[in-house]
Amino acid sequence: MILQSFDKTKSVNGDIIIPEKYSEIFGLINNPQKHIVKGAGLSYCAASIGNDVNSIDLKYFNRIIDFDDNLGTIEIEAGITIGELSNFLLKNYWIIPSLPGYPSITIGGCVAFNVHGKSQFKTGNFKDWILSLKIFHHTMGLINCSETNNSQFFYNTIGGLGLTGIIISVKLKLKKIEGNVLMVKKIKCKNIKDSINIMIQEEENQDYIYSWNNFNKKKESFGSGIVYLERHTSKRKPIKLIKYQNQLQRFNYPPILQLSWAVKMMTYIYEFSSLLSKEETENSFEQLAFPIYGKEIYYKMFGKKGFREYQVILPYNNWEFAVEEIRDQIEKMNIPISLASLKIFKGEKHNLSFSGNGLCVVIDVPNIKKSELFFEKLDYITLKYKGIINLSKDSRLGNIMAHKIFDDYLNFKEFLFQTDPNKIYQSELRERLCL
Amino acid sequence: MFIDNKKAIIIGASSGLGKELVFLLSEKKIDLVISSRNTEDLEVIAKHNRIVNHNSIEVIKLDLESLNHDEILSYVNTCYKINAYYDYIFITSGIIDENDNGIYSANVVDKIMYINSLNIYKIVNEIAIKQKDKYSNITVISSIAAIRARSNNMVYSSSKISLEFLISGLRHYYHKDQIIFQIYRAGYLNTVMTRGKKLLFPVADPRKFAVKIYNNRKKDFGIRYYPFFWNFIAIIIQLTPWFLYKKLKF
Repeated sequence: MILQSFDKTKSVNGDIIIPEKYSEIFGLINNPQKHIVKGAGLSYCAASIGNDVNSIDLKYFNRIIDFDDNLGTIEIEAGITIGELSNFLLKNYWIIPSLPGYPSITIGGCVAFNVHGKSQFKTGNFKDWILSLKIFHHTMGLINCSETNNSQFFYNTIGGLGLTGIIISVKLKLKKIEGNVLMVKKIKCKNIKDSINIMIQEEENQDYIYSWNNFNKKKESFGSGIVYLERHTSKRKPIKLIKYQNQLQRFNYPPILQLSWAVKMMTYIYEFSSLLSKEETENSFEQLAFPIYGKEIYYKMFGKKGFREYQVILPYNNWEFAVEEIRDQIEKMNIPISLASLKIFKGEKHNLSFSGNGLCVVIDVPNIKKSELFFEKLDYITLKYKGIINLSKDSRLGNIMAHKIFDDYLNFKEFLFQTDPNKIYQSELRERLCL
Repeated sequence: MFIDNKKAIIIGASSGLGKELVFLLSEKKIDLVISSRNTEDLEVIAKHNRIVNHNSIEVIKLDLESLNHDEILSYVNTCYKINAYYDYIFITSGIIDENDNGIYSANVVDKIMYINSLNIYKIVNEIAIKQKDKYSNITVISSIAAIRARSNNMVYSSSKISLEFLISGLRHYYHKDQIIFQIYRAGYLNTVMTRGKKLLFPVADPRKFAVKIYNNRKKDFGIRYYPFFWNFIAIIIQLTPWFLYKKLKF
């Protein structure tokens, strides 16, 4: 069957297998058929699909194996979604500290891409909360690993793009919250520098910081928008759990956002309307946990042609120059930017994952002809300023650029060669990156 | 939340409908004894529900393919050591075999007949003896394959019609007692048995089926189709004249 990446820019001919019992997974031992685990299928790139590859959907492996309410640890199967898990934890006033933006994302996917949330500057990436992993490898069988046990497997599986084996279960550290009420503040900013300054000033006092910026504006107004600041309080409201459903899978709207003028108009309307609501509000964690949930219409409006996203961490020492070059490139190529957003990143680089110190810049564009050329230009800016690209969002980056960008590229390739020389764990992403 | 505070046995609980019944009954805080051939999956299902729903779940291994009379007695006695009585007994286990295509194979015949019919009957028989003085429900899952014999899945169909007769016989035998016997002829369900297959009719959600079974638990109806539209299909299949039926490939 034809399978597509979430951004709709890549199609492959593969199959989906949905095991329900452990014996079906363990039956893959020494199986020569190429396969890869599929989580929610929400990686923008084709990470869980490939040509002649069986994508293994672990949706039935979504159970809680162990929960220690005193220590704040939980062991779960890899197919559980962060929405399901979050709902269970919230009843006990625990949260997953590093929470990506959509509830249907699976825990296995969080490990494979070492994901981050809007609190990255405080809570780091997903890896910072993983205590141990259980992996099934097609020749080695079940592998238990942690920082001290099978540490090579542990290191390489986190941010390992699902290529080191089938993640069976994950043990996580959790974060306790006193209340489920967040204090939310919106600050208007006149340009991108203003945004960044506000974010840096506020990072001590806030738990979550991110911004929405209008990159369609020119010169001094480039990147005007809103900075969102969210802080946990000890207040408690009755918890209203949301029954999450994956509403991102189908693109069934007219492709309005393929039109430049429509993109630009949408960003201006969004900016204007965002400023109409209150500047300070109190809201519950469950309503704010997943910022993309309820806004799926944005992705659907790109239609069948889809969109492209560029996500980069620019080191603090030269983000200003890099941002200026990005702005120049947008103006020069007259590219419509449907979404631009900023976050603050802290921590060390890890494997091929999106981690490190710096300013995270997100740029969405419709999948128009010049978008690929525009992203190539951005690659050179990234390289020049020693940035890191988010592979989970990128459907076109090749092996040469990946090698230059990621210090760990060769080490990871060598690890895969030693543990999986026949490339049984295969995906379009692996093929493209020549891993 | 409505709390039933009851006890149930579920055989065939590691996947599909059986697994959905475990989750549904756990949400209703019903204490469970769950069984299947492979306890690896059952243990995880049990752990999850103990953590999330705080009900009592005991796991007992049960391989319906290779059971002698003593092992059946031992299984039933173990269940009744855990709880003195049960309100509901749900038996959802069953297998199909791709070699079951009309050509005789002793292994296939024995395996399918024991798992799908004979050993289920023996277990239900022993359970019924212990339950007869108490109000309870025993539900077994048959199949639409039992509507009319055909070459494809021939032994499977026979095992299901045999199961229906055996359980219906028990229903007749215990009609003065308080046990309700129910048989569902299940249509295509979205389980490992149907996944990837091109089917003539839509597959049903096992969770919805589990809810239906639970909601009907007090009704004494004998045999019922699920989903309901299979009633009409069954009539058509039964009324199709032989000269046409023999030409059908399904």
